[in-house]
Amino acid sequence: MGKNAADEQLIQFYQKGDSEAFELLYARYKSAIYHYFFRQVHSKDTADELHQDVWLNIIKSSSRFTQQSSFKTWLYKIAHNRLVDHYRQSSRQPLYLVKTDTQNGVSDEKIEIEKAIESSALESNEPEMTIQEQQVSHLLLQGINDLPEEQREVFLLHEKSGLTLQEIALVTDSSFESTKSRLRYAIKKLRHHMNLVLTL
Amino acid sequence: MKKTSNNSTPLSSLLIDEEDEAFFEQYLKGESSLSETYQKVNSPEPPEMLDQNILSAARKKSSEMQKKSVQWWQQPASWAASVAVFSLAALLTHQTWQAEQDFSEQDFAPIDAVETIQADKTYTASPRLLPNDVKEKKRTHHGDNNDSRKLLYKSAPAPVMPAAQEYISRKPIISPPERANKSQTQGVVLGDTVTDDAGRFVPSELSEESVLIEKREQKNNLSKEQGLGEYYSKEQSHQLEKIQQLIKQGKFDEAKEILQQFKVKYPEMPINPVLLQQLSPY
Repeated sequence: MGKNAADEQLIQFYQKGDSEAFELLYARYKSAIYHYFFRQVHSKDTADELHQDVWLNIIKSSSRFTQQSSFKTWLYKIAHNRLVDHYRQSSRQPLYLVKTDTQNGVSDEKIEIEKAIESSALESNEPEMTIQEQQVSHLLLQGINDLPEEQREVFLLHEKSGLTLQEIALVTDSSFESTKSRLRYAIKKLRHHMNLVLTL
Repeated sequence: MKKTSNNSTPLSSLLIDEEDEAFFEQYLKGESSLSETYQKVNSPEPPEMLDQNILSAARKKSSEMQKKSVQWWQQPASWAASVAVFSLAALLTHQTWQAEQDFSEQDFAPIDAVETIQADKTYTASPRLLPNDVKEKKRTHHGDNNDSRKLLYKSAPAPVMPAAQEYISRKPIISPPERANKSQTQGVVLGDTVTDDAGRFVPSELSEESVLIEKREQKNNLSKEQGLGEYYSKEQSHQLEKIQQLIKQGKFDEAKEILQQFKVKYPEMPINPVLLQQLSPY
């Protein structure tokens, strides 16, 4: 079992009791999954919780994985379902539990999102990032945050996780055309949001 | 002017749509600056504590799966059970083989010797054995010493049965040459043809068919006797018939009286038990 082994081979090894195979799989996908949750919920604690739930679910139901679909699709399908559950639970949350800043009329959640965007823009992958580039990153993250949930999800899955439109359609239980349409709208909005800095 | 302005608005929007579409096509090809910008944005990593929790859970689960995946033949108990079953099967096989060996070594009497009834002309009340020389002669005649299915004479001598006078006086049904050819024929040994050194008749053989015919005749005779037709004298028969008629007529007292008289007159004569039952209690 090498490091270049396919995901499906690794999960097969793990089904036979090889824990190292799972470690390899986790190393491959942990950043993408965490990023997917963090950009959707804008909360580190919630992202931690969802991330852990998804991987424990993978561990628990690994024996049920069949080779009919790819591991990647299966993993993101579980992540998507967990995110949908989270949205449902959040919508049922009583209003008095949602803390608001009475003076400014801005919710704590909004502040947290702003902080996350700012920190992400500042803590760039490239250390020699200029101030202008940091501003562009900040602007982009704001644009992503302003996208509707469905369009944002499609953009994140395509951009960060590297899923094709067909795979995204499978993960989100949507048709190929509607998935493509969501991505088209998302790109269009982001382009207009960053019209000043982005060029063809 | 109004017309011009009205026409220019959809044209510009169309141009924008076309630009968006071209931008989208480039984005799908991976040639967009949007993707480059997003890839530079820092992507958050899960905390190490979370990684450790997840990996430890995975290891725990894998050890459980390893235990489950151990096949039954790899378990010590299964090994012990398999060895025990194999040993038992081997033991049983050996014992069966041993028993077969012992069984084949046993001496068997020849089948014809067992099934042949020998009759001695010198009638005695109890069965007796044939002389040794006669037995030797018969054994040589059959030539079946090597037949493992048959007992040896010495270990299981054939019984000698007394023959009735009527059989002795009769001629054999099968002629001697035929008997010689049919060595395996089952039959009754009769003594009307040869005498031994002691002056006794050496038994000759009678075929099974003849014996069966004789038996059938005997049976017919017995059935006639049971009908009491020829067994009683005329007077006795007359009395018994009279008793039966009285019973049929329902005159049981009269029938009883006649029966008493019959019993006094012929005390040794047996009476049909059916008749007695009809007059019971007598």
